[in-house]
Amino acid sequence: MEIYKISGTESSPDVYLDQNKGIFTLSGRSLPENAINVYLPIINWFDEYAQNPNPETEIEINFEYINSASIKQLAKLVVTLEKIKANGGQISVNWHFTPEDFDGKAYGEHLSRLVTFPIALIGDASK
Amino acid sequence: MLLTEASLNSADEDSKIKKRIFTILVEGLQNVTRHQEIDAEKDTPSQSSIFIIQNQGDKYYITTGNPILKESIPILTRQLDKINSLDADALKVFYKEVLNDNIISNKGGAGLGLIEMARKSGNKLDFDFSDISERYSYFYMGTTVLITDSAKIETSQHSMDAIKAIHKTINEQNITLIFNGIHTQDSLLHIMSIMEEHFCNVDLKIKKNLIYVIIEMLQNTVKHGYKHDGRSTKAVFFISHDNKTYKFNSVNYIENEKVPSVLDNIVKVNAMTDKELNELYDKNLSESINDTRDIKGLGLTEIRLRTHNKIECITSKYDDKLSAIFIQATI
Repeated sequence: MEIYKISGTESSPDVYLDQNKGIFTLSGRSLPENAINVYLPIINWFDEYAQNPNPETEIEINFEYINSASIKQLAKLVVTLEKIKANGGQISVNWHFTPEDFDGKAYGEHLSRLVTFPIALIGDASK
Repeated sequence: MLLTEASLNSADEDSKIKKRIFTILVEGLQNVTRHQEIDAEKDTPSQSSIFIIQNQGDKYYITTGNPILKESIPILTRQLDKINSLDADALKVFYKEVLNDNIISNKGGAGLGLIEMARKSGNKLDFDFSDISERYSYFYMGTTVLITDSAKIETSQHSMDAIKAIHKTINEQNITLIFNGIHTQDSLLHIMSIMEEHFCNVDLKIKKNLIYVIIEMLQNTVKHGYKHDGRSTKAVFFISHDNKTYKFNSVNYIENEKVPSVLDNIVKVNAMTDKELNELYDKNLSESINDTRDIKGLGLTEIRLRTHNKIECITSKYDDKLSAIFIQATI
């Protein structure tokens, strides 16, 4: 599958999705005005990826700031990831947050309640 | 600077005018940072400096205000009176003179910035002083940039008095930041970066909450504020604080028919406990999976969870179509 690579801006995330290398990361800031425009291509990419996934898929999500509109789109994204599991792939998400940011951790918890695969909550050193 | 640029961009100003305004901005702001005379040891004025840009039809007023030691008043007055007495050609000569003399000055500048501002604006530099304490005064200086050649300048003393009054209010209310203009995604990002710097010594946990509340409040204004021909209309956002709390305030217009549902939502989330808010968050999040139009916002729930305080809201009918809505979140 083609690599999906988008460089982040002050308000949109860095995205790197590479099936061959097995690297799937979203990072930086996610504060777009129109979150659907940012996340639709990512969701579509995973939709296609789920047809023929790697045996194991580990996704890193590591945001400095994220707006509520993006969280809603991430809800759609994680639900899409269920298809990977349905097609025999193993799927896990690592949700990174700043340990001091209690609510940042809570976003990961909210998302994990929407899915049947593990979303690990990882408190990283302050950034 | 970027915040002003974002504002001017949303106001579609032509690039020549923009350039002139920027030169005056640069000189004005550097003048403030270089000459604001704050004694780090004692008797430091707690009042902050101010920077205001006003658009009045075919002209922009740019005003700065900063604390100075009273002993600087005579020399500033002398410099400004001299600059104001010169025409464009004489200013050019004077600029060169001061540039040469500059070699012996230890503060760099010695009025060069003032001359540059006068030359770029093509108008007089209005100035005024206002008492702070025994040792300090505010030094206010303003000038006008015309958008069209035909625009006439009236005396702007009136505007200076208005600015002194605004500054007094801002100091009395402990307002950290105020932005009145067309709110866009760009202005949000600039306000965010200004406030990140401002909060740099604040405990990280609180800082995150503060920034998140700014994000959600401003995006709420951008998204739900009244739009005329698809463009956002003017709104005010300001942040005030005392020893214990920060207050985030927004005022914008919304259509009258939207008022009841906004008020309902606020009353609803205000009545909820953290546990109920988290349940509501989960419910809205699972509903959003099938929501293709991004209708139902999580912003208010987010603000409540971040602040642990009730959201204040006041609406006031403006005309048959619009109401003003004031929202305040407290941390």
